[in-house]
Amino acid sequence: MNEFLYYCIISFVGSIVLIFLSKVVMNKPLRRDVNYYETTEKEEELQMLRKANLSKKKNDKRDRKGGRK
Amino acid sequence: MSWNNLHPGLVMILFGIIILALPEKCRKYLTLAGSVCAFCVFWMLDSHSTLPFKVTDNLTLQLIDTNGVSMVFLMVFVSIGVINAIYAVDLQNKWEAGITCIYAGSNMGIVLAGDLISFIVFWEISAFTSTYIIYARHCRRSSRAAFRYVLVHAFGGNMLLAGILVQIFHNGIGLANLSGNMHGAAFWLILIGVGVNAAIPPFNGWIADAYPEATIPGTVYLGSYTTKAAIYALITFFSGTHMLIYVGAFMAIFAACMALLENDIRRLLSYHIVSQLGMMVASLGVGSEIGVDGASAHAVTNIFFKGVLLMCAGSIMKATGTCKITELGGLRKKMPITAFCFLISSMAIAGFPFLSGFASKALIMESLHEYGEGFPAIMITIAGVGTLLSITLKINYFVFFGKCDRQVKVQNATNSMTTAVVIGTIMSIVIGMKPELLYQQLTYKTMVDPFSIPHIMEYVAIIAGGAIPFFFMLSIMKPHDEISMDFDWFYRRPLVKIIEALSKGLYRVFGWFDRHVLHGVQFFGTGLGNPYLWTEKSGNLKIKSMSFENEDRLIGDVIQVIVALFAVMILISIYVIKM
Repeated sequence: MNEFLYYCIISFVGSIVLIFLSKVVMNKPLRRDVNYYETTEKEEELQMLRKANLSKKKNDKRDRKGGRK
Repeated sequence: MSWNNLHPGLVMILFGIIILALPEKCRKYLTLAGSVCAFCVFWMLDSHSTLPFKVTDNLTLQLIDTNGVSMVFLMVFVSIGVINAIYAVDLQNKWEAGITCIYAGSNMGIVLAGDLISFIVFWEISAFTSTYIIYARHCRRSSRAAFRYVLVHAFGGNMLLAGILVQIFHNGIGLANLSGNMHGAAFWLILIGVGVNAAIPPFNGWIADAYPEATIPGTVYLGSYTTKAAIYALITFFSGTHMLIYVGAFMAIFAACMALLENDIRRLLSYHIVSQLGMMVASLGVGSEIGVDGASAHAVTNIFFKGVLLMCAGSIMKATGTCKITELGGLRKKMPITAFCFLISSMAIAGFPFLSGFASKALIMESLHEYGEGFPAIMITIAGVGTLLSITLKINYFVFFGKCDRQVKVQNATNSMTTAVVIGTIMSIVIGMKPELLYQQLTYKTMVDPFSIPHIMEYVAIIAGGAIPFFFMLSIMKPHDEISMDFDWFYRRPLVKIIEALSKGLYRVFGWFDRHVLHGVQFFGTGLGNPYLWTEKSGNLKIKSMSFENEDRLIGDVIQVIVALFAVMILISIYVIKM
């Protein structure tokens, strides 16, 4: 009976500690918007694509001038 | 060559290559045939099985070494291979099917390897094939996740390779336990290399980052092999390293907390892979016979119940198009078989009596108590409560059994998916009801009686005590559509910026050198190649007067300069030679 109570108390307290740790302590520093990484990554990709467009335009211009055969 | 020397892993790899080579219509049959053949080949192996591969006269690799631990892991790998193949039969294309066969085969190769070289070769094949499985979803997120995954595993693989080379240099190519050599470089390099795959913090971020981004069957395959092969490696190299008891206990608690924050079922389950791995790491850290058997037994049961949980998550995703708890609810009536199997497996992972997790956790707890490690044992117990909260209660309540106001549209999962889920669940029930079937397969054949009244009461107490706060704090337990940051944040945010800044800095430095060195070379080239310029354009009158154009130049001055330069060159040469 003592062991039963011991494990009951351990798991009850453990359960509350886990909920407190995850939902209160870790909540603010760790939880972010669902697109937290995506937003930055997409911005970076857009910038890269813009640069790619620029170099493409430059090449097209050079082609039109006859610089590239 | 006799039948007992066939290698199940190589059989799977061969089938994988054939699937890739033949047309799509052969894929279904070959995927099933490959896993069934590997399963049959496994049962032909015995203690005399051997497969030497001669590389040179002085180097022969041993591809089959059937020590006890190998056979336990191989048994579960070939069994789950068949279940996974049934699950995936209608979901994969030939490329994914072929690569998953090679991936499964390489993991069988890891656990059968009899030397360090064949071990690392199969380890690397596993890393690269698993990368493709993540990439195989062919979307933006999965390709980025696959890229991060391969970078992390390339780091781990290189650490492991460096450690193995050091180990081979000192002790030869045999697999050896390193727990007594904590001061050696090989110990730490191999620990980091294996630790990456075993998701030991801070190397755990890749699991929750990559696994949910793979295809539906891909996640199921990944959840079965990579981390369990790492546990095999930890048992082989590090069983008895007591530091790992505390590392494992921390892993188990940390991942259980992270799982409570998650909303995506597949991310949540990924954290529970880490938590369960923590329990295995703690057990193997004890290093006793019961500790090693506890880690192996939990790996076996974990592959079955975690496999079913991931399969159910895949079925939910296929049926509803989402895995987010906030977008699901009331699925018990719409997906009754999935709901039932998920419930059974979630009870098994939480250690409910008469289910498989109960049988294997009994060995882990027994090993920790036997060693006298009270604090880690309490931490592992609390981690078990975390599992109960986040899987058994949270997912079952919010996804299947709780009240739901929203209407979730559901398409039927395929028959093959349902069949695999049911087989996996039956395995969990059979092992739970007859744990001696599992214990007999273990390395040291440790027998405990999990069905003693005190032991059952202990788990009933843990489950009852752990469940009460959940229902009292139901509103807090409600998931939110957010993500939680993990150690992967370091390589997704600051490390990216640091590498970007470094590359920009290097680009500027090398750009400066490029420009100035070219100018310098041009200057010296033009000057040295044209002695006329040395003299004629010099601002020094004496040098200018030496010009070849100057017919009145003093030849004595020219000779003087040449002799002086020659003397300087000789002095420099003497100095360099003496150095």
